[in-house]
Amino acid sequence: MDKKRACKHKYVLKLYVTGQTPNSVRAIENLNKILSEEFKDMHELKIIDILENPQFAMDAKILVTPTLSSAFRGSIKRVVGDLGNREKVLSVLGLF
Amino acid sequence: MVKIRRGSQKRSARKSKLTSVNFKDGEKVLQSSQYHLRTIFDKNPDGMIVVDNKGVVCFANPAAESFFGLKKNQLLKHPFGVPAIDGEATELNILQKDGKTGTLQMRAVQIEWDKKPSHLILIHDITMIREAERLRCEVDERRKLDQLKDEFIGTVSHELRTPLATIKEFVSILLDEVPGKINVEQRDYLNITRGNIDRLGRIVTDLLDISKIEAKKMAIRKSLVDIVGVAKGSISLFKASAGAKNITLKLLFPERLPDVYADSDRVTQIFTNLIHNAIKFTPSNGKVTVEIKPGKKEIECSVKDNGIGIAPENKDKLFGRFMQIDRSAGGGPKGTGLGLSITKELVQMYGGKIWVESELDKGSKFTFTLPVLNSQTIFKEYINNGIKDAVDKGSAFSIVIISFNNFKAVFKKLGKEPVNQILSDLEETAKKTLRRVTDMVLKYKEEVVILLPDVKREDAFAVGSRIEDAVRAYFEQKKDSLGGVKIKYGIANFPDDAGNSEELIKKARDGRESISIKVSPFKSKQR
Amino acid sequence: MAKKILVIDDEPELVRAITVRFEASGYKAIPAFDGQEGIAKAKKLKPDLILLDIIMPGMDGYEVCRRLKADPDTKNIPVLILTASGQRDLEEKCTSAGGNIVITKPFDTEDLLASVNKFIK
Repeated sequence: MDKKRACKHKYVLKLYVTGQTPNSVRAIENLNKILSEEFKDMHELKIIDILENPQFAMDAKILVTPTLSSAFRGSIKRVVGDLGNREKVLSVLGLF
Repeated sequence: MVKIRRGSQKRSARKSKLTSVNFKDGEKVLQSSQYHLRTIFDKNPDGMIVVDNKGVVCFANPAAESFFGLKKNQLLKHPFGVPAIDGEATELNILQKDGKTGTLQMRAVQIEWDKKPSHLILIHDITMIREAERLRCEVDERRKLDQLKDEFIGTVSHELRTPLATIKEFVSILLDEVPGKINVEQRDYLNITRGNIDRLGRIVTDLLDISKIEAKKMAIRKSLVDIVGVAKGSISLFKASAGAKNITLKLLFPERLPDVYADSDRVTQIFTNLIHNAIKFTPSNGKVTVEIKPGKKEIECSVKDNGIGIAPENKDKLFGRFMQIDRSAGGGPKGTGLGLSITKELVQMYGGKIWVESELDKGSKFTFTLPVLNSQTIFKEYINNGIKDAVDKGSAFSIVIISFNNFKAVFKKLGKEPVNQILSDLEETAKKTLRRVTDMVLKYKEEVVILLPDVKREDAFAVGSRIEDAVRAYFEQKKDSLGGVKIKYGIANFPDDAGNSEELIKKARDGRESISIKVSPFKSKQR
Repeated sequence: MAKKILVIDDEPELVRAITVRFEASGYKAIPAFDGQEGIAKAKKLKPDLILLDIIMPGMDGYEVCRRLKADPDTKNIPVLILTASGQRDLEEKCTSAGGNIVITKPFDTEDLLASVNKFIK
């Protein structure tokens, strides 16, 4: 990936979780790991707790948590689960 | 979908016939297998969805629709997400309509759908399982905490009291002149020392009492208390000290008293504290009267003396901790200042009130109330105690509630007395099926409730089915007079089905395990 | 011949105070500072009464009491249990472990001596 080009655009990531359930916590941990190792400086992460902000979840049509929605250069991808499968996450988000 | 090609018309008639027979058979087989697949798909309690490589739903079964609360046309083309899980399965949370969080188990497998790489996702509801686990954890935590508190209090008690015992005994040995004679001055000082050791001992006792009350505020043991008996017991403790001052001790009580639900030791403590004070602050030849008055909502108990009374400015501070009014007139050993505050905490623990009326040099009257509990509160108390015991012992508690499925109709048809009779009979019937001393049956309004301490969920069902058989047999006998009566029963278990008494009762009242027994004069009972 | 009382308590100063008191009352007091020592001395010296503290490091008083009562050599020796806690269920625990009476610390000397007189063989 062209680093120069990549720096201009950022991945806008929204991770939807439910309070402090074990899989929510795991998803946050896994995501932070992936982000710090693969997406340094290339991302913007917002963690949205659907218990506190159910409206955001409804607007975004979130069915289950954890759900990670990633917007990059206009293309929106969505990943579901605890994000433990790093290759899958990366391949869906478009980073090979 | 598989397409069937019809045989060409130009073929021989026999072949056509064969082909058309094959075709008919083929179609039947196909329809049959389609029907099977459809059934598996439609009736599956687990949700099944297919998402494409963009994470959009392209197929969903009815169970999935109900999980997500969406109709098929809303669910199709709805974004879901591409599963990215480590291993075979993962847990997801879903926000249910009532605002509660549900837990789902998701398994995903890669498939080809319409020639495109997709995922087949299976969704299994594990909300109840997780809930039961969480409750069990909470129960374990509570139990461990209670245990820690108990151990702490026991250790502190020992650490404080042992040195006191040593000091006291040596002082006593000196006073008894065991190692040698002592002079008047030495005796005086040693007596003072001994008095203070006793005082310290009482303070330790009071402090431990307070910490026990603080620790156990959530877990008060209650049972039916004979208030008059308790009052008599307290009074008898003071016969000697009252006699020494020639104080008359009197007890007034009515013939009939409603039931009070409390811990008799604690109520004894309340009476004892108040009578002790009354005697202490009443001069010789005085009078101390304990009176118990019944009431509709509460029982009023009072301890009245004609002693020195309390100054108005002190009345408000009386129940505070470490409060000691100048006791120069009181005589006797100095108190700890904690007695009344502990008394107040105890009274309030039972939902009662305590107050004082007093006039200097005329006397004082301390009154406290204990709420009369109606059957509803007592019923809940029994259930609460069952749960508390289960928590303390790390075991379980089950209840079975038998009720009328069609109470209003039955009541209308048969009338009050027969309905009460049925309930009494059901109570008796249930009682006979119980095998342990600790099992209990209660009649409560239009229900018969069976309490099963230490009984796990599976075993509760065994009991339930024994009761069911007994109830059926009862109705078999009475079928001529009790046609049309429908009985249902439900079973609920702590901690597997519910975490507190409200939930437990609710689940047993309208739980999924309700089984109906309908009795009609002509047909035999059926579920 | 003076009666023998075995005093089992992990507080040496309290044991000493009790010993002085007992000897002044005409008994012979034998000290033991933990459960093991107590049981061994009970078997060897066959006292006429045993005074036993409940809270001790190592083997607690209940266990000592149970063992004493289970052993034919010592089961008939009366046991007075000393405890720092005044809980009612503690008393039940003590009696079910085989204790004959419970005395709460700090105790009145008269109470202690009266109980000893009552139970000593």
